[in-house]
Amino acid sequence: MNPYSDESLMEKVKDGQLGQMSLLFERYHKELYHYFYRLSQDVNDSKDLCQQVFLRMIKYKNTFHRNKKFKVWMYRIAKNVWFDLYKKRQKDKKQLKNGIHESGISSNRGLGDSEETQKLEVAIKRLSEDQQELLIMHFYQNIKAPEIAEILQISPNNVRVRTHRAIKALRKEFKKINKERTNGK
Amino acid sequence: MENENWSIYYVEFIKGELDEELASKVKQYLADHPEDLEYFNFLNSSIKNLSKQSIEIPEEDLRRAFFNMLEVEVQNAKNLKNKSLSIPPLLHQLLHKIQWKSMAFGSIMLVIGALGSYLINSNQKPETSTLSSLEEEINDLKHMVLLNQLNNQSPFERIKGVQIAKDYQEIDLDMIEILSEKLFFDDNEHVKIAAAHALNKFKSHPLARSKLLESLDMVKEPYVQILLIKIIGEWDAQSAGNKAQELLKNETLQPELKVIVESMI
Repeated sequence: MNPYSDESLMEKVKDGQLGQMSLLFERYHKELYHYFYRLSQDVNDSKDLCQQVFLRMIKYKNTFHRNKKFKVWMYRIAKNVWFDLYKKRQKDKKQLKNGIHESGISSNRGLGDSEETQKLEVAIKRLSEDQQELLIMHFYQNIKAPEIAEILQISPNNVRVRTHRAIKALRKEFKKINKERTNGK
Repeated sequence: MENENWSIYYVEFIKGELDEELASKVKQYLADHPEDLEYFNFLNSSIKNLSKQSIEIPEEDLRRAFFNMLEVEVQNAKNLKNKSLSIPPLLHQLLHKIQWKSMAFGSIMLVIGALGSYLINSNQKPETSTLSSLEEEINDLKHMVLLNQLNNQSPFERIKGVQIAKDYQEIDLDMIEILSEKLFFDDNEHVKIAAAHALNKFKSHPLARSKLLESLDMVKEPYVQILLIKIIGEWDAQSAGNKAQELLKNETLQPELKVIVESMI
């Protein structure tokens, strides 16, 4: 096994060499930030959530198994971290999701995004939480279907079917947005 | 299989994640179902639009928070280790478990003997483990400080970081890995050059040598390539020579740089 693979580094962390986590941080902090930002559309939440993932990876290092893919394990933690925040927000009735105004989506986005992209983003935010998560993993995080299946603990075909449905819903919302904009809404 | 709905594979098909056999099936399915074309095109353009989209990352904040957290966790781990080494809880646990009344005299003597030997050995154990845990901690912190420096936004600070690494008397695998990452991927040529020099200082280490050789293919900046050819040429003339020949074939290489490369062969 490559001594600098994600899995080997995590094994070292598990053995108590916590400093090795800094190499994993270098490899994954951007990707995790992207993931949380796509989900929450909030800079501060994304920073906190990112931090939470690395902390949990240290706290629960013993749940990592050498024969599992590090990335899948990390995303499962990320998913739980997001779910915990989402649940908490729902409980607080802060309505994290609805609190994000469609107009606010562009707040931290790179420059030069086309109108099409902006409409797509708005359309994604109108989908269910599960559908958003699936599309974010596919489109932004570039995670393959079999890996998504492991993260979500469902079969790869189930991922494909759900993705297919999510894209159909996305297209529907996209058309709606087009119509709304044409009608000057 | 013939009636299978291959449209669920469109995403993977567009992302190029399917093997040839599956990809051709999806292609055929799409040809047989022209009604899917509009959906397919929508999906295709969505993936293209969204995947090229970028967002700003609060790099410094993330880094600061991470290293603070890591420092606390390293400290906690150290405290926990020391705690588990302390004798009173162990003794207490052991004494608690012993049912004195039912014990025979011989057993008591055995326990006392065992305890004595434990105490004698334990006088040395904590010292050695404390030392090694301290060494571990210092090593971790050294990496943290260096990583912080090497990931600073200012190239000047990053060069300073490389210099700190270069000043070490000995280098470990992590440090080599960190310097290699700088040599391969840093945005700034000067940082790359500093990292190449630092790695070359530790060329007696096999990993440092292999990373330098690997960099011949990884690094694309002509000036850094020339430097690499020069320093690698001192201990592996063949690899450096091959790269120099390859570089000469590059038509975009500036004439003055070509002269330098030619002079090295």
